[in-house]
Amino acid sequence: MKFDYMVGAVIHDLKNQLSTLLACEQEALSQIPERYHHVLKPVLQNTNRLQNDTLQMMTLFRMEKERDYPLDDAWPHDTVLDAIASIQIQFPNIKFTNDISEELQGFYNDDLLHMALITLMTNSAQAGATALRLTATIDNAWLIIRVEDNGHGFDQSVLNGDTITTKVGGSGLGLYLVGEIARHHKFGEQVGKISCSNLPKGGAEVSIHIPHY
Amino acid sequence: MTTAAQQLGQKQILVIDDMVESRSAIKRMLVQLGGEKIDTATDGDDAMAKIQAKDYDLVISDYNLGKGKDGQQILEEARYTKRLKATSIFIMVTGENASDMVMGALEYEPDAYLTKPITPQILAQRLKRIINTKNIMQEMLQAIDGDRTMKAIELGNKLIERQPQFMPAIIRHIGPLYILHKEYNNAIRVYSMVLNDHYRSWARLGQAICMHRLGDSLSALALLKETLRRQPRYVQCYDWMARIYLSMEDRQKAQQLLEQAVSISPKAVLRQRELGQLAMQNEDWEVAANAFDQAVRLGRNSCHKNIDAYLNLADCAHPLLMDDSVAHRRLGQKVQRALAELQTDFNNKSAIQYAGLLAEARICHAMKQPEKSNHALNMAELMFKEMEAAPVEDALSLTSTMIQCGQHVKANDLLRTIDGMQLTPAQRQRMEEQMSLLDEAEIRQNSDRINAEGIGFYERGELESARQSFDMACAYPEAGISVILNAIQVRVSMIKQPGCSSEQRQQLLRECRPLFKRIGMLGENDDRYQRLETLKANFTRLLQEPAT
Repeated sequence: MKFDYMVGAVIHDLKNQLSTLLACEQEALSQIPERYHHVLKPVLQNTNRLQNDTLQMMTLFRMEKERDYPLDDAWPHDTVLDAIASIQIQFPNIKFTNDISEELQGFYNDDLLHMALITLMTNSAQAGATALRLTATIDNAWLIIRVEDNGHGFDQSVLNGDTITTKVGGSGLGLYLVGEIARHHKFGEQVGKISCSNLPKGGAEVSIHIPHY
Repeated sequence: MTTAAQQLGQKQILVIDDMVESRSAIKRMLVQLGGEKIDTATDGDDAMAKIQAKDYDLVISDYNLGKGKDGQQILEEARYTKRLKATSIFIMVTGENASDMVMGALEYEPDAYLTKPITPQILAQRLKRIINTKNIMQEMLQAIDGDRTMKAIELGNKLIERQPQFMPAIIRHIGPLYILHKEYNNAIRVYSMVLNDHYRSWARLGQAICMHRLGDSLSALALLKETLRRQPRYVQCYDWMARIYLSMEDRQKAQQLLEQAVSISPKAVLRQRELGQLAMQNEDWEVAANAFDQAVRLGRNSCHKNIDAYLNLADCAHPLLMDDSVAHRRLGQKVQRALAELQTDFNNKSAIQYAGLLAEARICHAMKQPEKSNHALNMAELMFKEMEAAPVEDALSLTSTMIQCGQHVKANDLLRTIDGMQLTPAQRQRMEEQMSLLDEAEIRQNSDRINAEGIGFYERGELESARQSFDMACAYPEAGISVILNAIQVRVSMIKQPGCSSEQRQQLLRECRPLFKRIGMLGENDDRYQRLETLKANFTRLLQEPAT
């Protein structure tokens, strides 16, 4: 019990420290001449990645300990828009496409889905994708949000469920987190889930299924 | 439908952010989106001053504003004072996920949370949705702003039929209105409509409130516990559970729940005050003093500045200050500063000054600063004397303070004057309570003081004066044995003096007898046994010795 609290506090502190660090780095970047930017940019990107990892851990921790993520009316179009905005700086060369109707409405926790989308999009980017497309549909009591990329796709072992990561040295935390977020959304017997596949034209696709009622 | 851009041009907008970059960035975006009338504020006080001065249609505030108020406090104050109408929009900008903010911390919630970084696209999208919803509900919201609540309910119900997809948003407004009009069954009905659609904590809370009002407090408690299980930081549930326990006379449990609420959301002034009141009733001075301290701190420069919080802080700190520790000394200094602030801020309100001076006198007395205490008490006494036809209440608070500061003689005089005034039964009771405190205290104290005077005379050889003092001290029924022994001893000494006449000697010896009788027998282990025996021996010898 005490250990849990300590872990929670440490993660929270870590996240705050990283936010401060990021702000400092951005400030530094704005003050030094442009010809040196290439030296600092990787630092900034890595800090950003660390911060995302910490946020993932914090989200997992809170989902488990506090169950403090209430569901509410939300719009996938807006959620995706927000998610793209928060990682675009990190991946300036990737083309993001939000192909979701503004009218489409769901009932989920916006913060959690935001986190899930950032995680999936970061995964794609790190797997070498240069273009990402997001779509959403309502199908038979499910809201399905899809992230498609043009990267090299999942290894067969991941699709079989033998391993949990494609990345060399990857922890698999990302996909696990996205799964947990989907499972946080329940309606009666119906529990949220994710599915992974490779596209016929190449690239990977991950779908988040949220109960729609 | 006109576009958001066109609508934004007509709106009075206020942007609140302490960081100049983000403030101007948001302002720039709003201009891009068609905003024209845009003001900015850098902190909570600046923002409140602007909100008081102008009707804003849209407020975008950062949550974290550095020192002073945060965005939530601005929202609370703006809605509480009705300076921000139901038709107006409040958007909270946060550095982290909205879940890190305390949801439902207060009665008032923003229309939307925006997480940094904000892009023009996101801002446009969010504004479009909120403006659209507000437009659809406009007539109903205007009725709410105009306090035409029955009309608002009627409009809301019609709107649900026409625009069923806005049902939850509409009911969020009309649910509380049904409760306001004590139509609890209707409120429960509409909240059920919401819950049949989707689970929402606020609808559950609404139902629980209605059940409690309808007399089913236990079901209400069960519902609130269930809501908290799903959303543990939904602070209003703790507030309502506390209220329900209070109505069931379980003050301890109520206090415990409010303490939990305060630990989740420590910045809400009104809740701190509620906790203070409750803990004060429970005589939990530590919790009460802390809550009022927070209420004073948070209420500074706000519409929630409350004089009672200052005075209650002093009252609750008082019993703690008797125990002299570093923490309590610090608390005492805090209270003194708060009371000084009260004096400066309300220097034209004599009633507040008067109450403040009395509190100061008590606090200084408890902190063993007799000069400061006397000074404050004397000032209060002066103010009292200048009052025309001073109210009984003011007199009673003065005497109470006098007693607490050990000025029993003054208190005694004043209480006798009060006795002759027209008193309500409650006032008479308070007066009698004070008198009873006074009697015991004064007798003990006065007797001791006069006895000490007598000893002084005795030591200087002024035996006659000493005898008078000791006799006065002995006149109190509660006078101690030592005092009586003193009265005997001074007589023995007087008899032994060369100039003592035979009549005087006889008289003095006669006076000794009842004094010995009053002391009676003392055990051998009594400290005063030896002294009594010596005096008895002296007395017997003097009786037998013929007068010289």
